[in-house]
Amino acid sequence: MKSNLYTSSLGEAKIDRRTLLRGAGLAIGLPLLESMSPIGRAAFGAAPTSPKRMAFVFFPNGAIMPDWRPTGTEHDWQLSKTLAPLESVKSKINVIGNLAHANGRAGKDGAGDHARCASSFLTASRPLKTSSNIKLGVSVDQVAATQLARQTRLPSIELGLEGSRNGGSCDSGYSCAYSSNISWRNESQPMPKETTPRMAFERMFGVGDSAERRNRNLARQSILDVVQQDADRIMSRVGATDKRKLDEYFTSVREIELRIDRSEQEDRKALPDIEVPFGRVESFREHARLMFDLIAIGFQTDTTRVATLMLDNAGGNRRYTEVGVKEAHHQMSHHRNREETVSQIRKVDHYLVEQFAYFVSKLDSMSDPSGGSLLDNSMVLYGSGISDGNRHDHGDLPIVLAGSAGGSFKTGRYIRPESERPMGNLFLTMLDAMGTPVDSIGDSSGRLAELG
Amino acid sequence: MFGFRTLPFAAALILAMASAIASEPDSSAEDVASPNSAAGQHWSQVGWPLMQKYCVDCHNADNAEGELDLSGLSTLKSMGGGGGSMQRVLEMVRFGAMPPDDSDLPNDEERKTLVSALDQSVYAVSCDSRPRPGKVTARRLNRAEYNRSIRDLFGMDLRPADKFPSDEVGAGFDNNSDVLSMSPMLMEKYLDAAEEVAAKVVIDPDSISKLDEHRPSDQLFVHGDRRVGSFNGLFLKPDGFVWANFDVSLPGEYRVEISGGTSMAETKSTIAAVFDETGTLVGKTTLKYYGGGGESDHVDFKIKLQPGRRRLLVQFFAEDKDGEGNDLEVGRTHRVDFDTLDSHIVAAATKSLEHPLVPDRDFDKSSYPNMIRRISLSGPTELPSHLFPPSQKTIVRKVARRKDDRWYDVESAAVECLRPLMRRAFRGPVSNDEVKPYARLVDEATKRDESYYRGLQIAVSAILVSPRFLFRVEAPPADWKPDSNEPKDAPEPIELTQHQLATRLSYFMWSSLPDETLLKMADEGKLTEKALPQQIKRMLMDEKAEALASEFAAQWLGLRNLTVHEADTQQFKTFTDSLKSSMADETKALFSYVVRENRPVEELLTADYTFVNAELADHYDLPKSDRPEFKGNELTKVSLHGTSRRGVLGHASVLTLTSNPNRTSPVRRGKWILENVLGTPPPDPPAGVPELEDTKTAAAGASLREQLEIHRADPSCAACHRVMDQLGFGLEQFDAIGRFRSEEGGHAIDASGELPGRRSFDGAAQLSDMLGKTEAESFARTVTERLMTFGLGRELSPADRCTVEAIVERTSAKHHTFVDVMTEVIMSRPFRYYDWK
Repeated sequence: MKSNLYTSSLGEAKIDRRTLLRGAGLAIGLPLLESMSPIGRAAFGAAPTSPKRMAFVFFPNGAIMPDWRPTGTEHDWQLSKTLAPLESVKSKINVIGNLAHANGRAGKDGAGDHARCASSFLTASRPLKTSSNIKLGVSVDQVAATQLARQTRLPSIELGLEGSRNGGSCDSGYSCAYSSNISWRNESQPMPKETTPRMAFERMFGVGDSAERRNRNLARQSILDVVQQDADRIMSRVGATDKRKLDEYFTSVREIELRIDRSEQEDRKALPDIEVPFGRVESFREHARLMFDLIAIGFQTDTTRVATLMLDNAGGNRRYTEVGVKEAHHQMSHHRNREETVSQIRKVDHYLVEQFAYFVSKLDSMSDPSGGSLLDNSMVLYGSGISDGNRHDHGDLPIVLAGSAGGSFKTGRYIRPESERPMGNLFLTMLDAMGTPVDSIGDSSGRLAELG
Repeated sequence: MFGFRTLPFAAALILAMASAIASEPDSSAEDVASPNSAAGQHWSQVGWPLMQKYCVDCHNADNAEGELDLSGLSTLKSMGGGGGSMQRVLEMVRFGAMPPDDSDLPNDEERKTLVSALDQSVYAVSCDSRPRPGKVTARRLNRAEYNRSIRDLFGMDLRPADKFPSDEVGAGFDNNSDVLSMSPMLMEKYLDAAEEVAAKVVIDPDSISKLDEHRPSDQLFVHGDRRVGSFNGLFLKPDGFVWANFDVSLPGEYRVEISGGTSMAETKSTIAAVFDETGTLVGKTTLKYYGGGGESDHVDFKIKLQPGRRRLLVQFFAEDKDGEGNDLEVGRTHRVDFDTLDSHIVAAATKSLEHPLVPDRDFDKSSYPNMIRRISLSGPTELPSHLFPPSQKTIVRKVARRKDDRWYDVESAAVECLRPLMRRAFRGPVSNDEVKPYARLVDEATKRDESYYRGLQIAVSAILVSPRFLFRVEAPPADWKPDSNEPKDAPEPIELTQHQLATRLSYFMWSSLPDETLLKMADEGKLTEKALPQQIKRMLMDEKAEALASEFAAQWLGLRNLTVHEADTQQFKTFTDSLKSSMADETKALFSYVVRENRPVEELLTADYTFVNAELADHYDLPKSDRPEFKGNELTKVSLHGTSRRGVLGHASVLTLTSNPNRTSPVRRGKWILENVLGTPPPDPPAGVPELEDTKTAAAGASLREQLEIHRADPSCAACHRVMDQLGFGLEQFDAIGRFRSEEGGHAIDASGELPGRRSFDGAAQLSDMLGKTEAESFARTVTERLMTFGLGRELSPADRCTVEAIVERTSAKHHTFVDVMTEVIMSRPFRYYDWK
């Protein structure tokens, strides 16, 4: 009997995430149960407070800045052409100008602005120009993730739409690690990113070898489909005694199918209700939106509170043919102010913002247990480490910060500090809001008072 | 093992001897048992009077000894066309086990007459009309067949079926179609095995890691003064050189790429020479102006590399000459200083790696005429074949087109790979429509971002769980239509298709799927009556026919019981697992010898030679002087002259498996001979018979033989035991693990005995010889029955008896030589036709 008592007391200790999601059919908007939310647990008896979340979305090659910058004053302003897709959530975002990454600039290091663009983006640090013994600095997301490590199943999730190149140098003698990672756990360890939605899904929600099992089940299901066709064909031609024998085969196959089905159903009950295809996703738009969905659900289920997504690697050369752009992105970014090329890039800029707007709206449509939307309790930064791609500028970066982090910032503003401020200052302010403050990051010189 | 399936009997006559098996209604029995036939008259006039005189006293309606009532059998019709029970009657009378000693006994002439009359009435009747070939139910591959099929399909002996549960045994063999069943558990094991096999027979080359290393300038060891440009180009003085180490794990051809060039546009070109760690020039290439900024000229060439740490050293030359004016010749030019690099040079270069130079825009490029940006090494261009299983080539006949990790035209490529494999695995032609679903599995896999090879693995798994692989189904071809003129209740039997026949042949002799020769002959319709004997010979001489020994003979002779047999190891200290397996091997070796040498099957009983290894030679206490040189555990043929051993009855295997753990059992040995040699299994003992152990306490101090005498004092036991025990006594010269002995427990061994008909013998050798000489026909019949049962994979029916008899008769002129018996079995109707309703 003693052991029973033990079991039951252990069993009550917490509700498994799977238990919660099972049968809930998790439509977007599933409320978090307090007993599951670590914060709810920690604040036993106290009023529930929602956890804060932070996400960073990176795009490469800068933007056409005149079309990016809003017009007007801090509180009375209009979105630019490029940012127009954010109109519906304008009151919940801040566009921030005059932020810079001094460590992205050439200095004595010579060429390699794209490598520095990605590597400095969340670290505010200068990468060591090398192709082997990489050295940079910890990134803002990892500062938060490290402090929140035990609060959620995953401290953070790193996503991308384009794979990393292993080893070698990608930009003028810089290791490829610099161009393909924005999230750095420490000065020499980039966080590898998932690029396949399915893999990301498994990493976020899978348990143990469930991914492998699902893969095997999938193969088995298709195998059993095929062999049943064979069996059907044989059955149509045999006599009664053979039929009896082959019936044993059919019964066995069906039994296995049922088993697979049951295990799939179990899995489905335990998993968020989102269709994530196996393998690669061809369309950029689909791919990006799936990744955004995954982050949103990761936030909602409190699987993680910190996420990064690279829409492309630094210096990325994707062709956005779906919006009628035939040339490669990076190649175009050296536009030499030729209007023809500039207008193409404008389309890309707008298109990318459109995807981000999808994410922001999605977060805003999902409610948080403590009230408000997920977006209200989040801060989602969108931007690049280069402003003008033609000149490889690292000042006056294109930055949007969506969400108020539970009211930590006033939103609906166009903030433009009088003089250039280090991006690191914004990071420090965000980390304060996250509840994971540090004294400095990269080349930060203080908090970004203008945001507060 | 037990006899034949019974046919129905007239209602008045319910015969049920203990071994009788299930009966099935058959409306045709009435017709064939017509009382007006010649056989009918013969029985009424000759057979019935003798039966009345000698049998009915004890076997009548009031007093049915052995639950057998023979009183109503005055006409052939009443016998119902023969069947299990009448067959038993015939066997008991023929053998002399009936009538028992304590009753009136027929004289030899009367016995012969009764046997002949019984024989005619039981068999001649059904043989009058052409016997039906019967139908073999769809057969699942058993473990042995699965393992061998996989082996022959892929050329690898993977033995996945060793993990399957053992197969049920029916009619003495584990290939019986009616008892081989399928369950979800087994299906799951099939899936596991299929996936396991697939992963071993097709290897994804991508899973073998190739070398693809790029060493940018800041990872190169440098000797000499240098500068680093803004884009990290490394500018060298004329006498400078660089090198990099690569760890090569696979031998083969590798691609070396050098990126760099001359520093100034005015210098048209420079020669980059690459030396290996022995100081030998392994390649050279001409580079032009690097192009400024982040550009570079690059050229690649191929070199052969062996596994190990390899050093590639690059030095630039203004012209195609080494420092001493000799031409640079790949493979011949040698630099002693590049063989063992000066340790100071290495130390300095290693140290400088830790502190990369800061890019420098202002330096005089004319002092640094050569620039290098990168040394790359990738390969091998072709993976060495030893990394792949032999099946890789036979399966992956075509690789789908691949571009940027995507696969194109997958389905058509997969069809090319799968069709030959499916033809082999499914043992016959496969149509495009049949291959496509499997090829689509490959396509679907590549769409899920799996590799083409992984897709092929999935398709191979599917093939291995298809009913067309797992089951041998014999149905008419798709275009077959029944003859509309045929009577509906008794349609003409159907001939097996060529591929079905090829499959029966190969699973009979090889317990595996048909080889290419058979398939091709079947494709071309060449497995004709004329061509079959030749094929049968070829197959029996093939080493795959070892299956006939280990699957057929081992089960027929009960050798598999040996593996679970436990002798009393206190008493028999030499009884080890290794001895057990040598024992079984000896018997299989003799069987294989008889097959290969096409000896008369009787030689299995009379062989005055056998096959032993050192262990068995010791066990048999063969004179040291007569022993051949033994090679390891291998069995060698030796003569048995001067010993009491002859044939399988002298084999330790048979002698052990018929013994109790601590003592011999003449009863079991006699029973073994009755069943496996004479083909007349004794009925089970009647209920209420005391065990030998009880008899023993009543007669303490008696020898085993005396105890048995007491045991069968009861006439109800005596009829059978007299025969069984007498046979078993002949083998008393061998102890419970088959060693020769002349006394036991102080009693001298008495190995004398008698075969029915007062044929007395003394000792095992005489017994074996007598059986071989006088019971050759019975033995040939037993072998034929057993072969047919195994070859068909079904229990024999009474109708098959006619086929058996015909085979025994036809092969008797040549003393039932094995290949001939085998050939006759295969040529018979039940083997080549089946009933179809």
